[in-house]
Amino acid sequence: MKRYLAVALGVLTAIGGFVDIGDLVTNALVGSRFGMSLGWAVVVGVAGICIFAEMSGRIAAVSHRATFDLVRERLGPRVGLLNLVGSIAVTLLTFIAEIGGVALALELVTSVYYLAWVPVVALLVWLVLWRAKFSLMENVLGLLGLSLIVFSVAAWQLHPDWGHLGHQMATADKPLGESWTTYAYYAIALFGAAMTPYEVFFFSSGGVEERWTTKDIVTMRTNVFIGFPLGGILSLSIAAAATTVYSPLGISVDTLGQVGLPVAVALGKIGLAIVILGFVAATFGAACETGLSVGYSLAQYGGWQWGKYVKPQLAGAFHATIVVSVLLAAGVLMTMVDPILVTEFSVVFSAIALPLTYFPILVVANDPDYLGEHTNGRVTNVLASGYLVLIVIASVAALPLMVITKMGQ
Amino acid sequence: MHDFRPDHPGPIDGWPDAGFDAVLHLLDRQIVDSNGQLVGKVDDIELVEDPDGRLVPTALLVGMAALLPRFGAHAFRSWARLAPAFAERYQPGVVEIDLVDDVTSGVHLSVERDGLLRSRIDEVGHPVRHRLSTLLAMRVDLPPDAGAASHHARVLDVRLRSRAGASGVQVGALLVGRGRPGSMLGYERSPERGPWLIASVVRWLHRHSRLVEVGDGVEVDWDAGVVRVAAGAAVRPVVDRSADGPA
Repeated sequence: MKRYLAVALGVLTAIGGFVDIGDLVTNALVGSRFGMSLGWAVVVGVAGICIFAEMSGRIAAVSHRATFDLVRERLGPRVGLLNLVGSIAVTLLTFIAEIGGVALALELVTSVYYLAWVPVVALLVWLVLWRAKFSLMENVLGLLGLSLIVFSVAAWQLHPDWGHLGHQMATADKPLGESWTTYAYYAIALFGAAMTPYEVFFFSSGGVEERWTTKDIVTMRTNVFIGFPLGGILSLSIAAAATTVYSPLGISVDTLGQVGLPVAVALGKIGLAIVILGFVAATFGAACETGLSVGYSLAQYGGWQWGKYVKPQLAGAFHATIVVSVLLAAGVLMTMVDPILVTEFSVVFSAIALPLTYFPILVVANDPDYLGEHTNGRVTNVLASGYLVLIVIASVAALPLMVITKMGQ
Repeated sequence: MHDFRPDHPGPIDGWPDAGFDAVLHLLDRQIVDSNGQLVGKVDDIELVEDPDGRLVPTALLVGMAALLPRFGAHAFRSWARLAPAFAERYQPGVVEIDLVDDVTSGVHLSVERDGLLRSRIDEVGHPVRHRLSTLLAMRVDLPPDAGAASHHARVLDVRLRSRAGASGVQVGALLVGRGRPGSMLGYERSPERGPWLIASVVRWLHRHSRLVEVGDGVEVDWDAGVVRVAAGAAVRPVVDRSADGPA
């Protein structure tokens, strides 16, 4: 059993990146509007995050340095601070949205208005981050989040025209009613969600939490190459299920209930129960991932003690930032802002954070002072350089596309 | 809790007597105490002039009073003014260099962290203390024959070498080049380091950077904030041109 649970970190990290509340809705929205024609963006994103997460995990295993340590060591305090501001903005906005997301998922079960759930959820998230052991958190939330696999079953049970979906994906066949700028905006949104920077913060810090050494490189790679593709499959399954149900009706998805409906259509009540469990677990997992990542990045920039591998009283400043984040999240949600809309603004800050996070990882992954004999091979370097260029292009294009398309309308 | 160190010894193999680059290998690294608990970052490094005029690193400086001056005098003053009565607003915490047990990807101390960081209280007649960041902010006046780096040249990194006849290291050479963008990220040290894209861009940006040997003809003027390099001082290119083909 322990051997199977060893991939929990990768699974939980990927859930936070691919099926957090913003992505759940975006995937279904994209499926309902664009069919599978944007599926390639998810595939490209999965490959990219695998390459960079593997590097950050390898650095964590061999040199015991998490990603934001590298950001400060290689970019210095000034540019590092710029990245810190961008990264914390992305992570905190997502954290706020996730607490709202758990509340929305609980509203689906209980019919109690989500705002009533927000303080309860915020308190629960904080208790988990403060008291629960890291391994317990990743195992329980990672496993429960896997119940979203029900989307794959549903997509299969809905008997879509697989040939047509495959053709749409392979030929990037944009529907006639949508403009190319909107298409590009969603391509960048999906790519950015797959490569969102808090995944590497969480994954590398999680490696340090679990006390990885050079011996654990194989475990780390298993985490990467099972976790992230699984996240990608969940992401594509949600889009496929939404395409099959909503495309013929011309409905565009914008609520969490609509995201889950195709499962209920395909699998009935049992399916609905599983999908709601999956929503709660995935958004709760993403809340823990982003909440910790805010603390990780700030503490690693400043050099404070961080991590759940020490008693909370030894890492006071780290836990204090988590308390502040939780209070801030609950406060922002109480203004009745739409949690799903909150994640869409994080695209702006991703544009700063993405290149400034992945560049130092690539530099250090080639540095024998950190990695000895475990530096990058030639193939990894060629792929990673290509992705770095892609990330810069996506970052530059993100803001203009966001303005031109009015956030994808 | 115990000190949990990486398997790999680098980057400073043979501390405290092995040479290294102060910015690349020590500045901004994580400081870890003897129990493996985190202390802070190396926010700055204290340099002291010994009686022979050589610059020797004597302490790691930790805290906002060390970090903020690197963002500029204004940032530091604004922060200090929030509580002007407290001396620690102006004086950083000091970790004597003798307390550093080893440097791996982190800086490992031989003592526990509780109550470790204190400000310096100097008696009359104390040695002249400088900061690495001050040196890094200095303009460098190079002689015309040194190459094209003579405009807007700054100190990018400080190469420390082991001291003859004593333990520890001293400033041996200055890596000098255009101020921005930043340092060479270690790409000058091994020509084969990848990836090709980053290595090529860094080497191209630093094609005019020079290594200036500290010694005759090199004067560090701390008051004026200038490093003056006279004609005839030992100045050589940092990038090995033969590895890149014709320039």
